[in-house]
Parts: sequence; structure tokens; C-alpha cells
Amino acid sequence: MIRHERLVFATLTLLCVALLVLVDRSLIGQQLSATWNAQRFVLSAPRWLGLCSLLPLVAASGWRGLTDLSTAQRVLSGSFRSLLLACLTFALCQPARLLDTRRVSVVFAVDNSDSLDRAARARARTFIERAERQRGANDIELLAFASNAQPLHSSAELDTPGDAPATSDGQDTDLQAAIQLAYGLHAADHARRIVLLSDGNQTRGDLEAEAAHAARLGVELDYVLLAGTPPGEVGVRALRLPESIEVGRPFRVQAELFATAPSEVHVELFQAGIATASAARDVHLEPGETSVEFPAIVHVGGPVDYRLELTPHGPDRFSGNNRGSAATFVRGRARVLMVDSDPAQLAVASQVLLRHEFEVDVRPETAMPRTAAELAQYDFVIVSDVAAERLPKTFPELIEHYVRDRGGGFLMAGGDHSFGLGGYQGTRLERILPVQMAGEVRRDEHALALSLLIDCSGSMAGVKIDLAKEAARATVEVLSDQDLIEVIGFAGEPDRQVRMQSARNRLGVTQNIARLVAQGGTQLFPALDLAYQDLTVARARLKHVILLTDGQTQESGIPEVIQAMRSENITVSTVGLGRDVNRELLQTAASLGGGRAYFTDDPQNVPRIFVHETTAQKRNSAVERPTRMRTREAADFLRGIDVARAPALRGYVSTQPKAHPAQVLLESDTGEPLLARMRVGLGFVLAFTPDIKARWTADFMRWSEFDKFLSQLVREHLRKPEAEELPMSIDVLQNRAQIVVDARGSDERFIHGMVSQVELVAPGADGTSAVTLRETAPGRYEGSLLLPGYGAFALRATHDLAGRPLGQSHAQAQNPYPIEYLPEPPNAALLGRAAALTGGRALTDPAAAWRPARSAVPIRQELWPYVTWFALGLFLVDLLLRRVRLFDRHFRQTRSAPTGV
Amino acid sequence: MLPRLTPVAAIAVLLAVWAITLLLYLLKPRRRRVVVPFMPLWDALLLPEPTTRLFGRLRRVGSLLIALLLTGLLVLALTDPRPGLFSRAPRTLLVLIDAGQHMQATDVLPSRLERARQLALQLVAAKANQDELLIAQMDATVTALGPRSADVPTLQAALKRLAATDAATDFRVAAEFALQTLAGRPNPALTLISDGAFDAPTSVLDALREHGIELHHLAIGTSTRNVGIRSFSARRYRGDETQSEAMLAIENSGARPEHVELRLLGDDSVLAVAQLDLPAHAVVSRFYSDVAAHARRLEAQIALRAGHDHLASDDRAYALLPPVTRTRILLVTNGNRYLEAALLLDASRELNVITPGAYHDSTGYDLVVFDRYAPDTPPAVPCLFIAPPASAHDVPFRVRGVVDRPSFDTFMRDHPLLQHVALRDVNIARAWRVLPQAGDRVVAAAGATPLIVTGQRAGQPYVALSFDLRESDLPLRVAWPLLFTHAIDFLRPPDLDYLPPLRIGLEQRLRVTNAPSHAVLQSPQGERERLAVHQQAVWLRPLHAGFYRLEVPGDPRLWAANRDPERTVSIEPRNLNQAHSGALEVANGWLPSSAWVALLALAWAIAWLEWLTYQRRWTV
Repeated sequence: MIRHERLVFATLTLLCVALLVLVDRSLIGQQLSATWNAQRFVLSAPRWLGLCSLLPLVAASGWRGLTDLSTAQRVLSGSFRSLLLACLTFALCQPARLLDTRRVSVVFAVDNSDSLDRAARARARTFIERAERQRGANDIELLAFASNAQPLHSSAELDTPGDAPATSDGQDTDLQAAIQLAYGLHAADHARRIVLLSDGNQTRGDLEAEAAHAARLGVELDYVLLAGTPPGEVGVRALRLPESIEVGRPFRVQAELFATAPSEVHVELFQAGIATASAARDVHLEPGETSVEFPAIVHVGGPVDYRLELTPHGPDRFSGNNRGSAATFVRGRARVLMVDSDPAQLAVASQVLLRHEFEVDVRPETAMPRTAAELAQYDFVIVSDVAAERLPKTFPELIEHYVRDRGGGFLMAGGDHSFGLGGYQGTRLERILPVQMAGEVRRDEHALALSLLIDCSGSMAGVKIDLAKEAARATVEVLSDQDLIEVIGFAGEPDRQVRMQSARNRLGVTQNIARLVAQGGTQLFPALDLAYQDLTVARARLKHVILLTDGQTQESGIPEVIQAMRSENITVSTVGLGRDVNRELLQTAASLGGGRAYFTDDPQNVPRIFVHETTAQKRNSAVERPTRMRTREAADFLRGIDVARAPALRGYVSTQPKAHPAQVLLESDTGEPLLARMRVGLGFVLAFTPDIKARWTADFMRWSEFDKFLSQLVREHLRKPEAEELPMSIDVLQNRAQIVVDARGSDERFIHGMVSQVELVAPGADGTSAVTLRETAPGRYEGSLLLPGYGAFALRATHDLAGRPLGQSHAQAQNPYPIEYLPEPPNAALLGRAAALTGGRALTDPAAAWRPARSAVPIRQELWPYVTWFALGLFLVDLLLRRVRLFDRHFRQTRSAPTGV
Repeated sequence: MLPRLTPVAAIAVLLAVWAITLLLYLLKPRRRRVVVPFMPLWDALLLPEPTTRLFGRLRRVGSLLIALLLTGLLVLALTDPRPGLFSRAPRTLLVLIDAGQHMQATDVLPSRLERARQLALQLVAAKANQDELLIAQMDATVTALGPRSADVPTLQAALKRLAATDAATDFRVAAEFALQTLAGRPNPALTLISDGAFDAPTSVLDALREHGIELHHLAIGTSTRNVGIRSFSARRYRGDETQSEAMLAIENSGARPEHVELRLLGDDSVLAVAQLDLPAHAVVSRFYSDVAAHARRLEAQIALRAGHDHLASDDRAYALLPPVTRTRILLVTNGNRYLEAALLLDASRELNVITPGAYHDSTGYDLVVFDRYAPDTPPAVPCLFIAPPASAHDVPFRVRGVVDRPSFDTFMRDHPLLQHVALRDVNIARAWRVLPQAGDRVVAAAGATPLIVTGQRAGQPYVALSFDLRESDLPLRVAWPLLFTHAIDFLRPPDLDYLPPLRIGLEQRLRVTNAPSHAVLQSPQGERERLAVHQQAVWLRPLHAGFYRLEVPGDPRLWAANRDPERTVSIEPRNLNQAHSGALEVANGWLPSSAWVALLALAWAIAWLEWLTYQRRWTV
């Protein structure tokens, strides 16, 4: 019998274990749910249900147990133990009830920024306290925000003394940060809602973007509009500069000031940190905005910044908004350097250039730039009528570097001391000019006809006459075969010692000169007249007289004959020997004759003077006769100018054009260059053989088209900007300038691989605010730069391609002053848009904050603790059943049992 | 929430239960009187039983201890026990789980992100009872995945919301969030579960330390091998919209050279295939001209020729070209061959010429050119005004007389209208003396006389020339076609040559032309999301690279979304602990996820066994 029972028990045990394994395997990873009485329940770990398969063993063991309890109590005890095990099994299955709740967890986010005063914060506190009293089963959390957000433990923390700003970071309002923090404050198992108590004037972050995010997370956004105006507030709202500022042109800086009450303030404008005398004044401000203008002018191109400082005479809550700044980049005018021995002579030309927006610097040659850096400040250089020997020795080298490497423009204008006349022949400067100065002559024309008038009066006897002869001989040696020479000795009557003849016959001429003898008085006029007659008929391009005398002579008729000679392009130079000479007469003669006057006490100097004068005449290639200009080659700057209608020039310096690439743009009626140019390296060198003074071009400069001619000539050959201007756009977001440069070539193709560096040039440029742009799309370069403050900032970009400068860009970034300190009205529109995105609303009644959520939130109520509590109770009852005999307390004998011993 | 017992309550309950148990065991149960008729049983009773007395005492004490143990287990389970239950001060923990694109790397299986989730689950299970955790996902922004809570199921539920994105991780934003969330909290600590493959400036880490926030970094990841498309974009030429150019930058962030096959697709058709050799730690840029004459949707794909890297999501990138459109221009004139000739120069323009009398509105046109005529109201499209006469409505501005022979002398040299345009020597017989309104910009002027003005009317840009072309020699100059083309370009919408891609991970506002209440957004994965339209715009936050289609009635629009090209594709793991703090102490040990389950299971086993032993009288 016992064996049979054990077999049954073993079989039952095996069956129970098998059932346990079966249930466990079948319910792995499963979750059972059921609905009862309209409530949903779930078992998260039903695999534990397998333990219930062991409960039959409890009954079986109890059925054959050895306890001496009554059957009823044993059954009851077994039932309780089974129930205990079942409860524990049920608890292990992790039962839970799924509920839908419309309770809300509301985070009240209070704007604690400086734009709200204490009264506004008190209103917020009152609102929250009223809401707290009505919250019921809902959850409430608090936070305060300004630049940053901070959780609060109670609304009492919103209190701040007086009207002082609530927090040290109150200069900004970041609604987005407040919402982001609120996500982490909500209680679990509640619908989530955020109530913003703010004026809506955000200065950082993006409320709408965050509201969109909140909507995605199922968070509602309500708002309570707070309004607060700081008392007694004055400040600078903006400082504005004209869009286009030109150097030297006056403009007005406009300051927009504001005040919340009638106020007296002192304002002062600073340019580049320096107070401008005309820009300090006391201003009366009425409530609202007041515009104040200051006259200003910029004298030098480049970055320019202005700062306005406001000093209130009355109450002012915030000092942070008492200054404003603006900056821009002013392009300088093209700078032209004009050099002449007599700068006053260039007045007309310089005025023309000034009228056409050039910045003109007229200097004598003694004040010329002597370094490359000085010269590089100019975009075009004009050297007018300055002898080579008077220029700085380094100038030719400087100007060549300036043109060739820097791309500058250089023009040499004609005059008595230009080109060949100025001794430029064979110089380094001649090498880069488009003309050469050793003029060749036509075959039918001699180059020079020279008449030497030598005083042979008695006072010249001795060394003087010998040296005069020597001087004449030396002169002959200097002349070329194409020249003509005659020698006239004069005392009482003139005597042609050497008739006008070719200088090729040097031997005969020299022998004739030796026949000069000093004797008699001094009659100059007949000699001059004779020379005049001889030179008039001579066929030579240049005709010149050199007069040597040591004494006094009658003056009558001399000026007249010299003037007559001059009218026929015969020039006269004079040499005075000794102290008794009539200096005035000789100077007048030279002046009238268009020549030079020499005076010396030492006869030994005479030969040298003669040679010098002859040499000067040899190279004197001035053509002083009316000449009309003709166009030989077209040029852009001549477009629209009818050169043929220009008045005749009175003269020019004769030169010869160089071969290609030199271009002769304008020529004389004899075909000699009047205006030529040649590209030298990056720049242009021009030769304008007439002058730009009122001597040879007096009529031309009065011509109505002269302005256009000169300004266009200079403009076309100006040093070009070193780099192209590429469009750059700036968008300021969150104190960062978002920079986009569009890089396209002239063929509209995108420029790749450009290295673009953007730097802040004003104000506050310290060399550290720079960013390298990155190519984000073909030809599109982007980057961002943190602006160091508020106001207008000038940004400059430099673009390099393959290591060479490609272009540059300039733009202005406007970072408006934080509206935190401006008397802005509450931005209900922004708050409304954000609330609308999430399905929220504006609140006026605190109770509305606790309105049920629009959609129920599923929550999970864990039931295992309750079941465990129940199991604990069952166990105690079970113990009681074991320890206390509830049934059969008097041991009633069963009928079949024997009685007594 | 659980009705969890506090330690004090648990002790009280335990003492009470034990007292009851002890009391019950003090009760001596009355033995049952049994009549035994069988004599030998008396022998058994009369025999001495020295050993059984001790055994009986032990049975009673053992039974009591079992009962005490069982009740103790149950009470302990009710406390939902955790480490530090009695010892440690409560902490506030922010758990930031990196969900940036690099966390999709599969060098740790199944992925770094899943490994991060597992670590976070361990962290939640191991946390002390009183510790409050806020679990947030960080990528381009920070998203709290649930409320701050000490409740384990709540935190576990939050971790289920963790989702991978293709966004670049912005640790600055995350650190700022940590500062806002933790500053002022008791024992604040930031636990970062990430591979550390992002830029973590020292200043940011220092700021956390200065605020007393402990930083613990649970580092994930082992491999550095990755080749990815860092940037991909395409743009049409402004002069010829049928021509376009694509730019591609591929980065090999690994330590060894890689050989890559690049495929360029246009509207799903292969446009080009190229083989590229990428040196280690190098970025290679390629430009492709005229890749797509007609295609709009461009896609770049790369694949390693040998093996594979550990991040697949950056092997594809997308670009979208603006549609090629013909600009529909309405010319309102009594006849102007200069204008007609200039407008017909470009084949991409569609010109219609009408007389001023026939003009009613601008419907159907992209641009209207008014020649010596001004409508009563400015049209709702961009306009070019040529010599607008004085009119009753001052459109586009007031005209106050005539200026004879003005000449250009003042310019906004940087203005796009004047790029490569020389106007200084233009001869003009006469011009209107006009008064621009506030906000207008005088691009060129003769002294105080504006000659070229730009601005906005009726929300649309305009360009105005204050002189009659026929009364100037401008049409005969090189500058004219250039100026005119610039004006047309200036007045066209800005996105005709380039569509900037959406930035993954950031909320962005897209304008919709119509004003429906809702729009439907289709993600690259084909998921459709209904978006509310507010202020003629929708907000969206793309999380993955690809093409997004915004379906608005009458105006379906396509957008490409790509990873942030500023960020490297490097997946090299980095441990921030080395520099700043020790590893998190609780993360490396084993702790049961639910200790109460174990306690209850043990209690069940004891109750069951105790029943069996009781029935066999091994216990009493």
C-alpha cells in the first residue's frame, strides 16, 4: 500500500515538474493581459505561472501528512499554504494594472530676466500659488529661467529685493532652455504640460523650434503673459551708418535713443575710440524713441567704427544699454600722386581729378615717396616736368617695382624737364617708358642749327678770347654730322667767322674759329640780327643761338629781335662772363629766347658751359609749334572722346615710339607720339609728351572734354584692386554671424578650393576673431563667427586660390542690442504661436492649468507589492492554523473508535 | 509607482511580523488524545528517548527560524531593495546616451547604441533606491526620454524610447543641458554613455567640474575603421540652369589606406562610377560637372573594395537640385525693342508683352517689367520698373520732377546689380527725381538723384531705373545686358540654383506656399508623419539622411537631408574619464535587475519546502 502511494506521489511529482517546464517554456518572453471590469491587467512575467503546477504536490503531501490536526484544519491549512504559494507565484508574474489618466504634471516656468520687474514676478508668484492651491491630484514643478534655467523648490524663491535684476544672468531670455529643462522635471505617469510665465521677448534660443519639438513629445505649452517695463530707463537702441560712405564726403551718423520717461542725457560719439568734437551734446528724451544725428566724415578708407555713449542725468535701471556701436568698411578713393617742380602748375589737372572722385596728392619732387611702402599708397603716379637729376636716385627702381609688381600706373608728362629734356635718355626709367628719347630726324632736315655769337670786343682779349675759341671748338666736337653750325664774332660789326655749314667739316670750322681776334666795342644787336637771318633760312628742326659776352651793350632792338626769333622757334641762350656783364639783359634775352642764361667769373668755365648748352640743345627735343592730335590706336578710355576735335597743342617733347608691346594711342601731325602706353608687369606706364600745365596744353585743358580725357585715362590705368569682390552675405543668429560667400568666376563657373578667411575688422578687432570658410556646395563657402557683442560689425574676407590672392569681400553684420533692455511690448504673438504648435493656450485663470489632458496617458500600476502583502498575511494565518487547534478541540471520538483503556 | 516600503517602515513591519510569529510559536498546541489498542505501542512510549528530545527542540527552533526567514524575505522584498539602501546620500544622475550617427557603428555587436542601452539598463538596475535619474538622448540636441525619476520601470520605459539618428553629436549642447538640469541638485552626476567620438572641448568639461558635477563616462567601441561621405551637394549654374555641378568629399578616418568604389546616381540611375584610393586620415574632394542634365535627386554611394567598415550609415549621401524652370516674364510697355531684345536673350525666359492698358494683374508670371508705366498697386511678384512715371499711388515711389543730364557718380560698388558693370560714362538725357521710401536702397545715383533703386513692395523685391532707356545711351553699352541680367537674377527667388540640405537633428522651419492646416511628411524610410501648418510653415526635425517629401496640396516639395559636413566621420572611441574623472563605480559590477523577484522566488521555495517538511513532521 505504502509502495503504491509512493509510486503515485512520484508520478504526480514528475507530472507537476513536466507541467512546470512546459508552462515555463511556452510563456518565455510572453506577456499576458486581460480586461476585467473595464480595467486592463497585465502579467509581465507569466512564465512564473509554471510554479502553480507544483501546487498539487502541496495537497498530496498534506493528504498523507503526519500532522495530528483534524482533517478540517489540515484541509484549511493546506488551502492557505496553497493560496500563499499561489500569491507568491502571482507576485512573481509581476502583475500590473494599466490605467489611463488625465492627470497632468505641470511645470511652471517663470521668466526671471531683467526685462521683468518685481511686480511682474510677484504676479507670476501669485498665479502659481493660486494654481498650487487648486492642483488636486496633479503634479506641480517650478523653474525659473533667464539666460539659463534653474529648478525651484517653491514659489517663494521668486522673490527678489527691490527692482534689482532677479538673477546675475538676467540679461537674456532663453525660453527654449526653460522648456528643455522642464522635460526632465515632469512627474512620471502624468500628462505633461509647461506653463510659461513670460513677456515672450526671447533673446536667445528658438521658442518655436522647441515648441515643435515639444509637440512631438506630446507636451502641451501654455503661457501666461507677463508685462513689465523697467522704470526710468534710457538707452541706445541703435546706431546707424549710411550704407555707402565715401572718403571725404560728409555723412550723418544716426542714433536711435529711447526713454521710458522724460529724461536728460548727455551723448558723445566716438570715432575709432576718439571723441569727435562736434558730436557731444545734451539731449532731451521724450518717452519713446528719439532720433539724434551727428555729422561725420571719414578721411581715410578702411574699417571705420563709431561708438555712442550715453550718460543719463536721471534714473536709469540698466547701464548695459547705454552704448551703441556701428562699423563699416569704407573704400578709399583712388589715390593719385602728382609730382612737379612747381606743384602750383598742376592745379588744373589736380582739380579735374578731384572732381572725378580721385584723392590727389600734389607734391614737389623734393617730397616724393622714397620707399616702396610709401609709393604703394597711391594707385597712379604722374611725374610732370621733373628733371631726372632732381628725382631721388632710387625712384626709377621704385617706380618700376611699383608698376611691374604692384600693378600701379605711371605717367610721365612732358615739359622742359621731361623725357630727353630732363636727362632721362639712357636711364632706367627710359627703359620702361613706351617711348625712347634719342629722336631721329628726317633725311631732308638737320637736327640742330647752332649759331655761336662770341663777343670779340677788346675786353675779351687774352685768356678770355682764347677760352672762347676753345669753347667754340669743343662745341663743334659735340655736334653731330647732321647738325649745322656758324660762328659769328661781334665787336662793332658782326663777322661770320664760320658760315652756316655742316658740323661734319670740323677741321675747317676749327681753323676758322682760330681766326677770332678781340678788338673794338660791343654791338650785340647786329650780330643777333645776322644770326636770325641765317637761322631763318636754315633747314633744321631745332635752331639755337648761344651768345657769349663779357660787357655792356646797347639794349635797343634786342628784345624785339629775340621775340622775332622765338616766333620762328629759334631759341637763345646767353653766357655772361665777368662781373661787368649786363645780367639783366642777358637774362631777359634767355627768357625771351626760351633758353638758359649762364653767368661765370671764371673764363675757364666757358668751354664747359658751351658744351653743356650744346649738349642740352642736342637732346632738346621739344617741338613748340601748334600740333593737332590724331588717334593711332583705340583705347577704352578714349571711347566717347572725339580727339580730332580737340584744340591744337602748343608743343610737346619729341620722342620715338618703342616697338610692341608699346602702343601709341595719340600722335602728332608729324607722327610723333603724344600719348603712348606699355604694359609693364601688372601695371601700365604711359608717356604723355605734351605737358599737363598751361604751357603747351593750355587750350587743350580748356577743352570741355579734357575732364573726361584725363579722368578716364587715369581710371583705366589705375592700379586695379588686388582682388575681386566676391558677394558675401551675413545672417546673425544667436550672436553668431552666419557667413556665406558665393564664389563664381567671370565665366559664371564655380570657384573650388578657395581658401577664405573672414575676420572682424571693426569694432573690437583684435586679430583673434577670424574663421576659415568651408566649401559646402560648389562655389558656396560657409562659416560662422561669434560676434563679440552687440551693434554693427564690419567683416572682411580674403580669398586665396592656389596660394595667390583671388578676391575679397566686405559685409556688415548687425547684431541688435538685446531686447531685454529695450522697452519692448510683450511678445504675445510668439508665445501664441508656440502654444498653438502644441495645442496649448493662453492662461488667465490658474485653475485652467489643471484642465485634464487632451489625451489620456497610459500608466502602469504594479500590483506585486499588494499581492506580497497579502501573502505575508496568509503566512501568518497559516502559522496560526498550525499552532492553534481550531477544530476538534475536545477530541471527539469517532463512532468506530474504541473508548477507554 | 510602487507602494515601496521605506527602510524604517520595513524594520517596523518586520519586527511586528516576527513578534507575531514568535508568539505563535510560544503557543503549545494541545496534543490530540489517541486511543491505541495495540500494546507494543506502549513499549515504544515507555522506552527512553534521549536523542529525540534534542531533535524535537531543534525541530521547533528550526521551524521558527524558517518562519522568521520567510517573513523576513517577504518584508525585504516589499522594500524593493537596491544598493545603498541605508548608506548613501541620494544622488541626482543625468544619464546622457549618445545617439549620434557614430553610435551606429557595429564594431560592438549589435551596435554601439544597443550596447549603450544595455549599459543604461544595468545602470538603472544598479542605482540606489533614492537616486533620481533623468535619462536623455544626445545627438544634435538633447531629448529627455522620460521624467526624472527614481522609479526603475519608469526609467526602463524611458530607455525604450532611445532611437538612433544620423545626426552629429553636439556635446556643447549636451553639457549645457547637464548644467541646467543638475546645477543645484543634491550630489549631481553626469553619466555619459558614448563612444566619445565627438568634440569635447576642455572648457566644457571644466565648466561641469566647476559646478560640482561628477562626470562618468562609460566608453563604448573598439574600432576606428570607417570611410564615409563627409559632404555631398549639388548646384545649378545661374547662367545655365540645365548645367549643374556636384561636390563630394569622402573621408577615410581609419589608420590604413582604403580603396573605395564610388557610385553616383541621379533619379536612381547610375550616372558615374569611380574608383578612389583614400590615404589614411584623409579627406578627398571630387567635383563632377554636368552630372545630371535632367535628374534632380542625386545620391552618392561608396563601398570598400576589400572588407567593410564599421559604420554603414555614412556611406550614402544625398543632394537635391532645384527644378529647372522657365522664368515667366510679363513686359508691360508701349514698345521698347531694347527691353524685348534683352529679355529674349536668354532661352530660359518666357516673355509675354502687353500694353499698359491690357495689364490687370501679375497672376501666372514670375516677374513683371513695367516700362514707363506703374500700376496702381504693386503686384505680388518681383518687378522691374523702368522710368516709372508719377502716379496717384506713388508706385513704387513718389516722383517729384525731372533732372536733366544726370550722370552716374555714386555707386554701391558691392551691390550684386553692379558687379562688373561700368556706368560712369553713361549719358542720360533726363531722369525722374524720385523719393525712395524707408528701406529702399539707392544702388546708383547722380548726386542726390537716385538712378537705380531696389527695395520691397508688397513683400516682393523690386528694381527701378529712374530714367528712360531710350533717353540714354545705356542700351548701346556693354553694361546694359550685364545690368539687366543682374537685375533679373536679383529679382528671382534665391533658391533657384541651390537648395540647402536639411540639417539632421535640428528643428527646422519650412515654408509652404499654400495654407493648409496640415502637411504630410514622408521620411526616407517611408514613414509618414502629419505635421501641423502654422504661419504658412511647418517645423520638422529630420533624424536620418535621405530625401524627405513634404506633401502639401498643390505644392509637394522634396528636401535632401545630410549629416553635418562640418563633422568628421571618425568613429574612433575616446575615453573622457582619463582626463577628468574615474569610471563609474556601479557600472562594472553585477547587480540583479529586480532583487525583489529573487527574494520572492526564494520565499516561495522556502514556503513550499517547509510545507513538505512539516507534513513529514521534520519541522513542527
